[in-house]
Amino acid sequence: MSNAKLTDQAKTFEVIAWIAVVTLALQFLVFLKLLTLIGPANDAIRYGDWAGLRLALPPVLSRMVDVLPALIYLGGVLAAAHIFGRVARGELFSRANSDGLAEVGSSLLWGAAASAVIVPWIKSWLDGEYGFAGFHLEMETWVIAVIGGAILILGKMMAQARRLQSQLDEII
Amino acid sequence: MPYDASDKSLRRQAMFLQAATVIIVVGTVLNYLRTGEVVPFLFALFGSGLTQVEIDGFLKGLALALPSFLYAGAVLAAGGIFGRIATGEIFSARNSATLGAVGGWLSMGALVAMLVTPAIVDWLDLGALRFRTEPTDMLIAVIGGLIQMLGLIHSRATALRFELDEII
Repeated sequence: MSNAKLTDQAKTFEVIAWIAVVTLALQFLVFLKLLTLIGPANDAIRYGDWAGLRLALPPVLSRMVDVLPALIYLGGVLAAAHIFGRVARGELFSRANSDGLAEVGSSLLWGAAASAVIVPWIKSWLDGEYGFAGFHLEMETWVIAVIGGAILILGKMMAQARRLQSQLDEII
Repeated sequence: MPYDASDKSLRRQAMFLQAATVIIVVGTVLNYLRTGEVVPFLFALFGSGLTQVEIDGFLKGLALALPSFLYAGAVLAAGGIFGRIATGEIFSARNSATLGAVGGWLSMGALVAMLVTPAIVDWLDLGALRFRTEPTDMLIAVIGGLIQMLGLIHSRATALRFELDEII
């Protein structure tokens, strides 16, 4: 595949990634019901009436805990979109891309960890159980964790490729 | 292609991930056998005779398990790459092609999870066609695209490696 085709493909993927980012962000806005905070926040700031905000905030925070893994995954999708953008501009073996891959891999691993351990643990505390809620290991979480690990490896491979490219450039 | 000291951590990670792929593939199959209404379907098929209930249950179980099977295919293909990396084969045409396949399986699984599975399940349950966009499915679709593109970049790196080997 020529460079032009690769950059074209990267441009397409960049568009898809940004569509996913916007869709996810909108879904979060709808799910979290952040807009319900505007009125109570306004009352708190303008009139010093904090009672409304105190009532409205806990459900939003609880929903935020529910979507914590997805929020972390959103970071990974953003990092992927940036990598697509750099490749679309013809930047293949660069430190920014290796670092970006490490970011994507870490997001997937942290998201999987949040989904399996961190969220159940926080929820057990929010529900007043104050204990360790165990592991919630679903097959999807395993897949995301392994793919995250694979992307970390790919980041290291890209760093090696960068070294090869600079060696070759020096020789030429 | 021999290893140098800096490749050791890569090799360790690859071996660890290879073990995880085995767990995922076995887990996916066992999970399907447990929840996919396979046993009642088989009993009905070879025993009392199939009714619409068993057929619907089996089709629903299959539709629900289909994305997992596609993800397991991706993980299995990734396991092949991990195995080759663990034996020192980092930049090879086989790894580039397999990376493309891993991305393809993942994207396909995500698309099936968003478009095919909810459509079949809701059709059987409610008689209506519906689609679903979960954050994890969208993430997996984008990551699948990323891995496909990395496969192409990897093939470029493999070409560089050959060029460098020829010069040296």
